[in-house]
Amino acid sequence: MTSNRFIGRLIGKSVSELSFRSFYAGHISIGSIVMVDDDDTNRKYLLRVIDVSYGHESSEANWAEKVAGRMMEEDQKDRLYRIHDPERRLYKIVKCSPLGYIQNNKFNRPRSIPTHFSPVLLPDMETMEFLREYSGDLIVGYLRCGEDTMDISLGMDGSTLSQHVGIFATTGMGKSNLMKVLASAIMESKEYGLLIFDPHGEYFDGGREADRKGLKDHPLADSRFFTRTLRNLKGAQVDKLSIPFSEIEIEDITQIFGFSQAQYEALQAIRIKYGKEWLYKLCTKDLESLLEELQSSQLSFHESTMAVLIRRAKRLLEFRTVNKDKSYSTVGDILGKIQNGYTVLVDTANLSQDEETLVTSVITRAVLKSYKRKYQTEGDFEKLSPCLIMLEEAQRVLMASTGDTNIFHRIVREGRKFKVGLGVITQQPKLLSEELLSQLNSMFILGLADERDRNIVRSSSKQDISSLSTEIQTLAAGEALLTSPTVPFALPIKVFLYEDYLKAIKTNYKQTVEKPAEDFF
Amino acid sequence: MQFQTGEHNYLRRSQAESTAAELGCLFSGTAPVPAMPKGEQSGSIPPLIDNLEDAPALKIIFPQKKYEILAIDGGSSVLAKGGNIEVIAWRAGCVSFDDINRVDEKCPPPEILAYNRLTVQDILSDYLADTDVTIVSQEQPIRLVDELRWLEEWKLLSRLIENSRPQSLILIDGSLHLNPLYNADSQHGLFKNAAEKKVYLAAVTKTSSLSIDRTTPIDIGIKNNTELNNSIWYKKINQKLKADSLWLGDIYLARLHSGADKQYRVDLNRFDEDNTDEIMGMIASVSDDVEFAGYPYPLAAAHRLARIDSIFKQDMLNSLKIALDNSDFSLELWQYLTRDIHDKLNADIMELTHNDQ
Ligand SMILES: Nc1ncnc2c1ncn2[C@@H]1O[C@H](COP(=O)(O)OP(=O)(O)O)[C@@H](O)[C@H]1O
Ligand SMILES: [Mg+2]
Repeated sequence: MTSNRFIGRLIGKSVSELSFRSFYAGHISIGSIVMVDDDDTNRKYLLRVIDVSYGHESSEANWAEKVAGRMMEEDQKDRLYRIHDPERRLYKIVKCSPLGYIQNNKFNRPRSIPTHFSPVLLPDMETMEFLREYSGDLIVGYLRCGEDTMDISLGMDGSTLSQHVGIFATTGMGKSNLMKVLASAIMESKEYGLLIFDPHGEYFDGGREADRKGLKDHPLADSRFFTRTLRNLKGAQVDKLSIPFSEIEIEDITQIFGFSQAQYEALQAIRIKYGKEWLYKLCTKDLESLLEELQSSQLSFHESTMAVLIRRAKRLLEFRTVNKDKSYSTVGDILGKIQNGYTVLVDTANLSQDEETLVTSVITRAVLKSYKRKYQTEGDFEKLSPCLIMLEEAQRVLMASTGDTNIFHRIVREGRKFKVGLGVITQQPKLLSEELLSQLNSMFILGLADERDRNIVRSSSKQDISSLSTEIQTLAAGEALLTSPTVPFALPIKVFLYEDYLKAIKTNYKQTVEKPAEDFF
Repeated sequence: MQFQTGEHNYLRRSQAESTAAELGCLFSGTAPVPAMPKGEQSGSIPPLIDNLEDAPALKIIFPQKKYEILAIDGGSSVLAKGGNIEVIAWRAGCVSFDDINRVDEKCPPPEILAYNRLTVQDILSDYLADTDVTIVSQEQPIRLVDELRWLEEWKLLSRLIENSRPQSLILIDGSLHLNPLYNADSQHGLFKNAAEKKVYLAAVTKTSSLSIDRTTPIDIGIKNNTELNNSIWYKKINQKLKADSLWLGDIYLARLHSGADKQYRVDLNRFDEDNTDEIMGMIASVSDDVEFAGYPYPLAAAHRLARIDSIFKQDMLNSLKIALDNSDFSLELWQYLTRDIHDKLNADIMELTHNDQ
């Protein structure tokens, strides 16, 4: 076996777990994909390395302990020694989970085991070519083989965006970077709308770190990228983020205030009586005249109930994004862009948590509502671009402990039918319910340090990744596993570093400067 | 690079079948005769120096460059025995090392032979036919399995000397005694040839340094000598050999690693006196394996490669039994062969650990 891809021979043990002996000096890391060339059946099996352990040939009891003891003795006496013949006496046992086999260029699930002692090889391009079929149209990185990569670009299938996406990683493991790369792929595809809520102000220009780039630096940004913010950001398509009172619904308010049953009933009554003006009325009228007006419609409420409602409504006046002028609204404008396959960044970086939540809720709800309406009433639903709503720090609104009735939960439940997907980005998936997680059909799993986070993600992914806990724990920044209904197994991906990615694509886009068609909006 | 999968530890079916057939023939014409007496065949030991303690211990210095180092060992076993009928297996193997890494190894599956002990001389002569070795001593009792193994090692050694580059070192398991059964000139010729080709030969005794041929105890008296205990050195312990001495090697004691728990007897080619320092350095440079500290690792490797251990022996017996089952004698013959083996069970285990390795 002269091939330098040769790394060992198969020694055991079942359809669900294979292991091979590998060289003492060989480096093989968890997560690597290796292949078994089975000449007898003409199949190439693919295996994923899930564990590496020590092996030695001595049949003497406790040999390794004895040798180590001997070494320590020599160490203490400052004597030099070596291990001779290491490749014969020492080796590695590599445990793998079988991914499947390739026969006639087709990938199949594993149902049998390769011939005993079959040679194990590092995969070659020719064998892995089949993965291109599963690469999807939204490319985010290269096939990762342990610590190396292979020149096979991989990503997710845009058609599954509306079946929701999860991006999970401990802070610093590459969520934001992946988000930017995925946003770029979506922009470039021109087929999907993308709405990003950015509480950290990092997606527009890369944030505070000087060498980081943002979406505005993308070659297509001038034509396909729009930003709504209150911050003073420089850019051609940056505009004010503004939510008119008339767009706010009770459901949005309940995201930030708790209401008693009586208060909630009063709100509903007011909503019915004043229509879209309800909130405006609530914070501009004084208590007495409001009570009176309601009284005239046979609606009587406790004075204290109404006082609380008015006080809370008036707090909204302090939100700089909320305006009384209904002639100007960001919301409709955002909807139009998304539905036509553009990318909109809603920058909530300098907003209070409550204001951010309100803004996020109002816009998200509006998106679902508009897609739903087109689905129900208009014939051109087919022409509508599917859209993805990306939510950073998603645990804040999707936490299992706060129930499952808000707009974000609704999108996860109903969005798929209306082409609206939710992108859930969080560093603490354990705070989300298993039910919610199981609705996220695609998951990018990056490094997760906490075992509970790993466990819940593992148990709710679309592929069996139950044996990959160690791998997920040891993923370095930017290394991901992608699970999705359209891939044959959890794909190991090295996500492009956004800054490198920009450099690479910029040359492609030099000539093609594109302007949005005016009549879209 | 390929893993060892024990592919040299098997008995070909054809071998088992022809041995079974041979056994059938032997058995039909066998009348029990008394076993031959065993005897020493160590040859005469050269005179040792009077006081080992006073002999100068010379410091061993590691050579600067790396050499190719080969090691030879043989393996043999008496598989079955009944009256004068014996079934034996033997072979020789070698490994070569580049510093600590094994670069090559050769070890064939064993030869196997069923024979009547009354015909030993004829059989041995047959095996010697294609060599320049001839039997000179008619009085010597012959233990065929040992002689065939010796011959196998001898032939392998000749080939290695022929094919080795100058300044390669060939390590041999045991000692460099002259085999008195055979003509001295062929044995001297081989060692002189090695010296001329500058291929170094050294034998290291596996068992212990404290005796020579199990008869002469050596008191080296260094137990309380801390300096000698913490360094590597060698001392020559035989008196200068006469020009016409039949002995093939000079005898040394050597401590080859500072952490060694004993010194070993090392024999060097007596026709190669000028290179003792260098050869000792080379041996020491491969004696620093942590498990075998003080003993040259390549020899340990050769030993493990060539040995016929009890498991393999049992395998071969099984193959033989299967082959016998297909012959008319099967049960009767098998009982005849193994009854003796059972009687000698303990002796056999002794043989396994001392000789049959
Ligand atoms: N795909 C990648 N390739 C190389 N380095 C990366 C990659 N993704 C992230 N990193 C590194 O990790 C750091 C943190 O990434 P970031 O996306 O901000 O993580 P998170 O959002 O999960 O906290 C980045 O500054 C970068 O140095
Ligand atoms: Mg981040």
